[in-house]
Amino acid sequence: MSRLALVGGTVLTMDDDGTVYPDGYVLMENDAIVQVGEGTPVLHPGDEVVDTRDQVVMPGLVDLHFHTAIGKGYSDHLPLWEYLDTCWYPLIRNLDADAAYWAAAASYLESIQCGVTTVNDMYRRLPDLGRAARDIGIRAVLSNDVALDEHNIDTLHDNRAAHQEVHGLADGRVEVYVGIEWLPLADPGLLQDARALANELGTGIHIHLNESLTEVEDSMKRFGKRPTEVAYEAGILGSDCIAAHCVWLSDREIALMRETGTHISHNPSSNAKLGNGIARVPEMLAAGINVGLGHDAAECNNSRDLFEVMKFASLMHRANRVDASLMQAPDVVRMATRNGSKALGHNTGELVAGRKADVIVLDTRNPMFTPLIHGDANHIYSHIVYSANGSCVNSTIIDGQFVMRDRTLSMMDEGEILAKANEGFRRVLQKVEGNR
Amino acid sequence: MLVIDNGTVLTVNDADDVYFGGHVVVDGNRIVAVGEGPYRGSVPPGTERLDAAGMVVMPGMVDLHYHTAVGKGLHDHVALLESLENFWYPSIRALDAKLAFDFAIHGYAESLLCGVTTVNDMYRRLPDLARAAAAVGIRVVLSNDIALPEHRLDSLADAQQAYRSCHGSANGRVEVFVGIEWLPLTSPELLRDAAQLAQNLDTGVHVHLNESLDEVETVRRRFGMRPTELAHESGLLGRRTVAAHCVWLTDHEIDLMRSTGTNISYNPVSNAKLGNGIARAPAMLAAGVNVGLGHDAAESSNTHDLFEIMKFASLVQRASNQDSGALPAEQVVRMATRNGSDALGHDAGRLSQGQRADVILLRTNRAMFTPLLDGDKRHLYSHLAFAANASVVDTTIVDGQILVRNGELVHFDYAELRRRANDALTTLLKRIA
Repeated sequence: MSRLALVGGTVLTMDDDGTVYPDGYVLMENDAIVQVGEGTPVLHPGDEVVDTRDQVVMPGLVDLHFHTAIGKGYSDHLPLWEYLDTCWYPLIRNLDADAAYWAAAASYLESIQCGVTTVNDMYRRLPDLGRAARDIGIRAVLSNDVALDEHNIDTLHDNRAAHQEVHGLADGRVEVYVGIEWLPLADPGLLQDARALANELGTGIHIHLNESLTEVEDSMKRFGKRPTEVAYEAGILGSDCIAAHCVWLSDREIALMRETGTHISHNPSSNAKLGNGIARVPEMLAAGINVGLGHDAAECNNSRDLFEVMKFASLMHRANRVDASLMQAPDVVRMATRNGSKALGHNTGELVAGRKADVIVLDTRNPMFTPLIHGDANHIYSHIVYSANGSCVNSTIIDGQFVMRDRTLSMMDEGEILAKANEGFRRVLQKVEGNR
Repeated sequence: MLVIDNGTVLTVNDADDVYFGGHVVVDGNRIVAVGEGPYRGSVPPGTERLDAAGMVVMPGMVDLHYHTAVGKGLHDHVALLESLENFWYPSIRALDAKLAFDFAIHGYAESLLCGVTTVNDMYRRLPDLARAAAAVGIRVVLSNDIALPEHRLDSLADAQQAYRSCHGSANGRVEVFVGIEWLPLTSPELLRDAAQLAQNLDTGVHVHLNESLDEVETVRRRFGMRPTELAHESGLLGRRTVAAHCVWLTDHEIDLMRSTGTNISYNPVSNAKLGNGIARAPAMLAAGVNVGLGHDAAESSNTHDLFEIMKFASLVQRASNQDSGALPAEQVVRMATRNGSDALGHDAGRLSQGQRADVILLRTNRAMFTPLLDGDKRHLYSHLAFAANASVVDTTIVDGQILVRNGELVHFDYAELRRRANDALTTLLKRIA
């Protein structure tokens, strides 16, 4: 039995009541939170105690729409469909095992450094990704880029094999969902088969849905229906499904999301950078849909920093609708923590006894958190959403283990990961350019 | 002398030269050499060498619309007018010398840590701000919050006095412009007098202009024209004027900006957070207007990090216009450096021989800059605009002086500045309660 106590920090529990302990503690035993409160817990000999004074202790962030990425900054100015055809697909078709492993490690590294404890990662070569997640210590839900065969990406067969090989790896921190690339590369038959596979495996579904106007037009042209209607009729939607983007939802599509209990990942930076637009998040929230946040991919956002995504999530809607009251800080923090966790059916996202111990520690002794009225919950929420970036994260704990402590990675070497990720990108890029 | 060697030198000069493994040499407060490979000129004894291996060397950034600020995070969900009346005006009316100095010094230090070497600061108590700027070493253009007397802010006489006592201090790093709070608190006569004062003092103008729909409506109702039209008729526009925000410009207003050579500070994060809207930056740039970037105030944008502002500046345009080609990386980097410097009439903002030595060094050995293709300029710009934040800043040099090293202030204990800023907020909140 190993116990770890974080003592003296301001504890933002993100529980149902929004409880904040100005000088609080979090006590963990093995992979679980056992006690949270104000002051100091009753300690036993052998307990590890970490002083978190002048720090904020909160649940780890959940990146609800994530792709391992290899070619950040390689294509910055194209619309979605052209970007996919000239950048994303060529890169992921030319991955090798080593490139996938190190790209995943580098992607997870940046997330851990930014306080992300769970990623919902749709990519290829899931066994390599699963090993990278295990080795670095992050919690990862993996899914394939499944498309129709002629697109030469992944198949449902690949997804089934990945489930057999790595679902449940690393004490259950690695899971495998069924992933659907997007509707333009799928048809209703494939969607029905994907749902059948998810049901057979007892797992969830991760799908890109209604990301761009071009996708909506393609869906109308090929199927005579909007993307969410196609997904609904094929049985894809449901409380085990995460639909990413959902930028151009009609009222009826929002109603279908609500009716089926589908979770939405809002990815404002990616939607902006690719020129896809601004999702109708205020309407989604008003409809009672569970909405989390995602960075998407480093090729189309370029940062895995969910602090930045939180800020942009609030600001995009305010700018667009000329309304300073939208998307207030505490709500945005909930989206980045408990909403994401709920979408994945995880027992995380809140600092409450009985939950898994995915906890982050933020340093406040920096300009981002200055000025700070000690223990003032709204002031802290404000700084987290509007002022901080991922560099304030001092430590990241997943399943009760430090995966980063005092900014140093615990289980892998940062320098090696970055060097290998650079090598992998150069190798894959050479293949891509050689094939042109 | 100071020799910076082995860096990736992003000059942001007219030819957009980038030297991989290049050098920048500083003598006194000027750049005396920039180029490829190691520096081969002779150097006097005592020359300091900075090894910039694994770093980007680029011009310091210019925050073209800045307010010393104090109340970050206290009023996040209210619109501009309410935020001004309920907090901003009461807080700036309650300042004294110590509060102004403590707030200013913390803000300037934060900017230096973010790689900002020049700020265009409109606030009150300019002599106290000037002392803070001199102590910190940052380059500042200061201006007052001038409004009609009934608003109990600053007057033209205050500006004249501040100019006399501070302009040109700290080896010229401190300048004073004439600042106008915003049109709803002024009259055409006050604007004309302000323009005249700037001309008499041979200095520039800093004005909030066309920030919100409220402002446009108020100005139209009271004066029968749009804000930029009123500013133009009052003689306030011109090459030495920085107009901040400019959110709801008509084509005619953009044309007035262009024809007068007025500089615009585009402040997208503040405009978004206050629900003011999205400025037509692509149209301004297409018209040939010089556009820089500003954070505005910590109350309204909550960060001094111009890397974040660069990214949001591009993304909010792409989102609202559904145009993935809007404001490419190279353009936002220029806006944050040379455009801002040009707007203020400074000879800085690019790394060229003869320019002021305002230089920053950024660490690339981290996830934000991974992957990075050797010798690829485009990749570098992408990471600067879209991937990095200010935590990559290693060194900040202003006027040839190294003020930040290894990401830390050279001359100050940050913990002490932080303590003073927190104490100052406590004092201020009591005072305005």
